[in-house]
Amino acid sequence: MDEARRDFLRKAGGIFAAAGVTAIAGCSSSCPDSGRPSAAETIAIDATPTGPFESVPGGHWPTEKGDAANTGFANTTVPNPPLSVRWSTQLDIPTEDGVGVVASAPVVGTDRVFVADPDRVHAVSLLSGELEWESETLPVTETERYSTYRPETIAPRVGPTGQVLVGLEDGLAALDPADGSVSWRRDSQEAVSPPTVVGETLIAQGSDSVRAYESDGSQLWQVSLSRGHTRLQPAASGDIVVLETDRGLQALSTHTGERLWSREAHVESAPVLDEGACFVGGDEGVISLDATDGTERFSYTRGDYMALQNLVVTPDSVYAVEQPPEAGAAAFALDRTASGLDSRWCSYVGDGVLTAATDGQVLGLLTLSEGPGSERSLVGFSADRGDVPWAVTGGLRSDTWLNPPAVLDEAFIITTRGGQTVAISGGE
Amino acid sequence: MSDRWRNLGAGITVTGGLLLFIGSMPPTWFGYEQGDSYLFDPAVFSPIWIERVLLPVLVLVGSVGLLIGIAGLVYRDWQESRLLRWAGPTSIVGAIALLAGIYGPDILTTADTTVGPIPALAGLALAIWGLLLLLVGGPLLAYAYLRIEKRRLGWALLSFIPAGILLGWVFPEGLGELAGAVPWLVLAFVIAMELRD
Repeated sequence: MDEARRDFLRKAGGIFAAAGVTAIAGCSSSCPDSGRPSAAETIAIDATPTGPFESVPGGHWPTEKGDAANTGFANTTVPNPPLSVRWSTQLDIPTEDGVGVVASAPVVGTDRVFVADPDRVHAVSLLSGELEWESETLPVTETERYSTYRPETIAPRVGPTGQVLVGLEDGLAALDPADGSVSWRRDSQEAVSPPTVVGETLIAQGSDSVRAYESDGSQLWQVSLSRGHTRLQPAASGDIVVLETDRGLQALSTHTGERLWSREAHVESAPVLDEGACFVGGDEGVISLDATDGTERFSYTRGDYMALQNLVVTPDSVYAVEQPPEAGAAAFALDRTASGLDSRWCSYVGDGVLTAATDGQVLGLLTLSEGPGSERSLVGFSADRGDVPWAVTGGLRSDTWLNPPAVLDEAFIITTRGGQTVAISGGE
Repeated sequence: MSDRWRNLGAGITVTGGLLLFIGSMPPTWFGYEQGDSYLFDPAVFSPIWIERVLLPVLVLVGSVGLLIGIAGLVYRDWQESRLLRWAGPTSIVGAIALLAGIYGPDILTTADTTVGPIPALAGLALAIWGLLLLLVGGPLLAYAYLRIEKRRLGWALLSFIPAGILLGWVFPEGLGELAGAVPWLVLAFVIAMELRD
C-alpha cells in the first residue's frame, strides 16, 4: 500500500513538474528582442490627401498575398519617407449598429483597386481614388474565424484577362472590370476561398470540393476535397496547386486535378510555392517540401510549442511570425541557404503579422505600443537589419484597423476594416 | 607566497580592474545605437558585436581578475585572523556564485535564442545566493583587514561599492556607468599594491 502511494506521488510529481515546465516554456518568444519597434517616421491613415498620382503606379497586386503562389513578394521598391496620403475614399459597406468592419484587403488590377464586403465588390480608380462602380449584390465569402489582422471578408482576385473573380458563399463569380457587371457565375460550391489562377486556369476551392474553370467559366475538372477552417487562397505554380484540407495539405495537378501528394499538418496560414518548394508554416516550424512529390527538404524550428506562421517568401529570405502559446509573437527574418534557413533578425511584434515583402523591406501589421491606446499600424522593416523607417498608423476603433496592403511601385494601397481605401506614396 | 606569484597576482588584478573599466564604456562612444530588432550575427568588431559580445567578456574577465587578486590576499593572510578565514572564502564563493548566476545562463544558451525559463530561474537563484554571501562576507572581510591594521585595503573593500553606486548616480546616463567603474579600478590598484607589499 505504501509502495503504491509512493509510486503514485512520484508519478503525480513528475506530471506536475512536466506540466510546469511546459507552461513556463510556452510563456515567451525565442526572440531575444522583447521591445516593440519604434518607427522613425509615422503618418496617419487619415492624414490630408495631397492629390491624385501623376500617373498610374506600376506593379501588380492581383491577390491579397500578391500572387498565385502566396509568396507575398513584390518585385518593386516601396516608397521612401516622408510618406504622404495621395487619395482617400470611404466605401459604402454594410454596418451593424452604425459601424462597418467588413471591408476586405485591396487587390489591384491594371488601373483599378478592388475591395469586397459581404454584399458586393467596389472598384475605385487607382489614379485618383474615385469610386468607379459597385457590383450587384453578391454573397461574398466571409472568413470563419475572428482574427485581429485578417479581414472578415475574403478579397477578390484579378483574373488572367483582367476580370474580377469573387469567391462566394454559394460559388464563384467573374465580374467585368470595366463596369462590375457579372460576366458569369457558378453556384455549385459553398464558401469559396479566394480563387487562384495558373495561366488561363482558375481554381476555386469550396468547403467540400475543388473546381477548375477556364476564364470563360467553363469547367475543366472537379475533385471532392474537404477544406479546413481558414478559407485561404490555394497556392498554385505551374503544374501544381496546393490546397488546405481538413487534415492538412493536398497537392493536385492544375491540369487534371489528379491527387499528387498530401501531408497531415495543422494549417493556420497559407502554404507558399516558390522555386519548386512548398513552404508550410505551423506548429512544427517552417517546413520546405518538394512541390512535386511532397517529400521534406528541410525544416526550421525555434523550439517546442513555437509555431511559425504567416510566411512571406522572397528570393533571398523567408519571413515568419513565431507564435508562442501564451506570449506575444515575434517576426523572424530567415536567410535562405543551400541547406535550409538561417536566422537573420527578429523583432517583437505582439499580436502582429507579416503580410508582404520586397527585396528591401518586409511589411507587417502590428501595434507600436502596448495598451488600449495603441493604434494598429502598417510597419516597414528593413530587410537587412529589421529597422523600422516608417509606419502608417490606423486607429483605435475596430473600423480603423488596417488590412493587409497592396504593394505597388513606390506606392501602397491600404484599406481599413471600415472601408476607408487609401493610396500612399513617397513624399514629393 | 613567492614574489613571483605576488607580482603575477598584482598584474592580473590591475589588468582585471582596467578591463572592468573599459567594459563600462558608454556604448554610444563606439557608435552603438539600439536597433528596432535583434540582429543574430553582427559583424565582428561592429558596434553591436562590441556591445553584445566584447564588453560582457571584458567585464567577466575583469571580474575574475579582481577575484584572483582578493583570493591571493586571503591566501597570503590566512593565518592573520579567524574572521578573515571565515569572511574571505564566503566573499569569494559569493562572488563566483553571483558571476555564475549572471553570466552562466547566457553562456550555456545557444547563441540565437533567449535564455530558457529554467536556466534563467536557476541563474537568478544562484545570483541571489551569491549576493547574500557577498553582502555578509564582503563587509566582514573589509572589517577583518581593518582589524589587522591594513587600513588602506580595509577601507577600499568597504567603500568601493557605495562609491561606485554614488558616482554612477551623480554622473549623467552613459557616463555614469564608466564613473561607477572608477572605484573598482582603484580597488584593483589597492589590491595589487597590497599583494606586492
